Amino acid sequence: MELLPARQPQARRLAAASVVAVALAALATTLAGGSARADDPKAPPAGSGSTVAINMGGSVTRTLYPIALPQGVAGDAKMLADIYGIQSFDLSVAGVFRVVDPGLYVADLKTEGMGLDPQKWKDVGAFGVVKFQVTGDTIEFKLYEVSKGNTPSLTRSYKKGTDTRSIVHKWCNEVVKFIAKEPGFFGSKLLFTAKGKASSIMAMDFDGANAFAVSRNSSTNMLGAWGPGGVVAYTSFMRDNPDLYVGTPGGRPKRLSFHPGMNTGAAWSPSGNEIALTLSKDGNAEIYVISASDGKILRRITNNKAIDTSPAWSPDGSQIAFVSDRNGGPQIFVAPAGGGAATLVTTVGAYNTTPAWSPRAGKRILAYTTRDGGRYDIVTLDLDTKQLTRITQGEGSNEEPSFSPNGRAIAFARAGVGVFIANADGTGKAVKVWSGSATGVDWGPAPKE
Amino acid sequence: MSAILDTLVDVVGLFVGTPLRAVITISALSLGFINFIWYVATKKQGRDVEHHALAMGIVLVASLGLLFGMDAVASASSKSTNDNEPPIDKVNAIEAGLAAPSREQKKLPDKKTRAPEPEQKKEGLIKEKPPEKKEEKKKEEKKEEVKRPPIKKEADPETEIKRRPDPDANPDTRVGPVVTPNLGPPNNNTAGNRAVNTGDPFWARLSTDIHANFSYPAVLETKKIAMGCFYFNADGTPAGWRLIPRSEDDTLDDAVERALKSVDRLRKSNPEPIPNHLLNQATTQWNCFPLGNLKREG
Repeated sequence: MELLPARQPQARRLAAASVVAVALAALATTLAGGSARADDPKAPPAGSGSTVAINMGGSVTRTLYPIALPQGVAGDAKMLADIYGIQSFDLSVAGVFRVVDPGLYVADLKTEGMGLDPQKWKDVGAFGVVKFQVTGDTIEFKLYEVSKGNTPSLTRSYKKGTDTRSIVHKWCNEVVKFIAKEPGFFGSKLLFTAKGKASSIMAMDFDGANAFAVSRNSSTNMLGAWGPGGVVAYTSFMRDNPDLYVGTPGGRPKRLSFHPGMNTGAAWSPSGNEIALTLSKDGNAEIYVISASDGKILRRITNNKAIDTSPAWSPDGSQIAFVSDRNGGPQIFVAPAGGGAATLVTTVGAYNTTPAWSPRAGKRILAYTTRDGGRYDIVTLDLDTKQLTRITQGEGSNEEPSFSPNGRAIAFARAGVGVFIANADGTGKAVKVWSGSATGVDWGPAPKE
Repeated sequence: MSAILDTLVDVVGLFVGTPLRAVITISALSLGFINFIWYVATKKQGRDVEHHALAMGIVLVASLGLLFGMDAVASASSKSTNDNEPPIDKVNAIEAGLAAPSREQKKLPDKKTRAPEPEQKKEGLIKEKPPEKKEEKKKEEKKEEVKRPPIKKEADPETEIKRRPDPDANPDTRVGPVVTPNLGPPNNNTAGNRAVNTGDPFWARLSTDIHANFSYPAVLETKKIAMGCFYFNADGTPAGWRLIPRSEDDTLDDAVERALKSVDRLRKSNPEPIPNHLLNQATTQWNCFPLGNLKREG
């Protein structure tokens, strides 16, 4: 009984699917089974002629995956608390999950132990539940999918070590990989410029732990960028000119580009062999591509009277986004990485800067800073669908976004407040991971498995 | 002070309040000035100056007459308009958009606030209790109500079962693309398209309730389809629900079961009468709604 035309793509899919569904229903009628909830003997038999498939279309609510993360079952109380805290933080910022409010739990956690009564967790809306315990020198985790009963879908044991944090990050990456079929970003690092008497480049874990200084000089340092193998490029005034330096954190940096004027805004190509940056050697700021090994200029990307800055490579290395004021105010343009005509991509707002590409495969999404009223906010723009999504709104001035390695989260700096991370789909609230005055955030590569 | 200022403004307005007034004033001043010069020069020569003085007087009187006359005409016309106006309390406010292109800049979208995710209510707790105890509890509650002052409880959207409003009832709440109704019988189909295009509102509302309570994680994907089915008692309360068939995707089946449970609860507490023409179908057959075939999002 086809009653309504499909209005939305989802509905169209359902409409098409209904044909299959009707066939399935007919097949089912040959079986006297089904999941009988109504055990009423008066209930119509699920047999031929007694089922009617009604397809009215309708959209389906797609949500974050509801996951319950109860406290540890057994073990040292402090360690259980640490694991609980790290796991809760990781999975709540993964951009995939909604952590079920522990206040709603109805299960008897003591009786359940490492097991599970699925109905109790269904009753609180959970689709997944993680249980863990510390026994002897082993930390054991179990992920249950409540729809699959009381058999865990994923089990992992880790040898207890000095670094509980990295063990939990590893486990959380496993959970993301199992549910979302993609790698997690737990254990990755953020780079940022900390503003003090002099600006210094700092690195830390994505959750704000283990912060340390990358640049070890008393000059002004800025605009750091992660390169391959943990190498960092940044601009420093060590020799009074804003030159580009490259080096490993803590090591002695090599001066790679030192043309007169600006050598700023380094962005590594996906291959790691090239660096796009802004040079003003001829008096005007233009985008160039240089060799990452010797700093030699390979090609010039822009050539006009306007100021062109902030280059960012697309994940496939074929395009470079940058900021230019050639149309008046600063706007974001995209040009072929091999050189060629640039295309304006931002059409909303009079001030759009600091683009960053999403690494998500098959998508062309940019995150950037936009001025909205007197404030600066982070938005994303899907270059194919032109859909704009707000990442921040009404909370401080937010600048310089950078995507997590899997594209599920975005890190950015909030002026005078600190470094934050937020879901890249615009849902949820941003979480502060570092307090202080910071700019120039860059999210490093995914941790090695 | 302000009265003096107001008077000054009025006087200035009288002479130069409109372009026409300004022209009259400037012309009068020019003519007056020319006559004055002429008057002085003629007098120096010892000749008769009476006609120059007369001319200055005529210019002054004529210009003042014109200016005041215009004022009088304007106020009389304004008064006559006011006489025809209805009293202020009979004004109807009419809000209408003008078909003019907006000069506003494109605006940024607002930050996403996801619809509250459906909270599952604890199942079976009420059913498990024997009816006598229920009555006792009710009595206790009544006693408590007498003791305590009534507390106004705000509805918690997260714990309420969702029933979608009819999206087309209010254009402000309509979501998705605006669908133009298919008006008139195309292709010589004199019977129209209602049977095909709109269906029965009873099933449409049930389908809407099921979809409103069906949520599926965006990060998961399924190509399978589960059929959520109901049959009803004559009073509109669900007599049973089940999946016919199950999709064999455990997560999808689970999500559909959760939706059916919620709708079962909703319709039991607030049954919708079954229209006569559907009574036989609704009470003797499983009426099934397909759910599934969902792509991973993001």
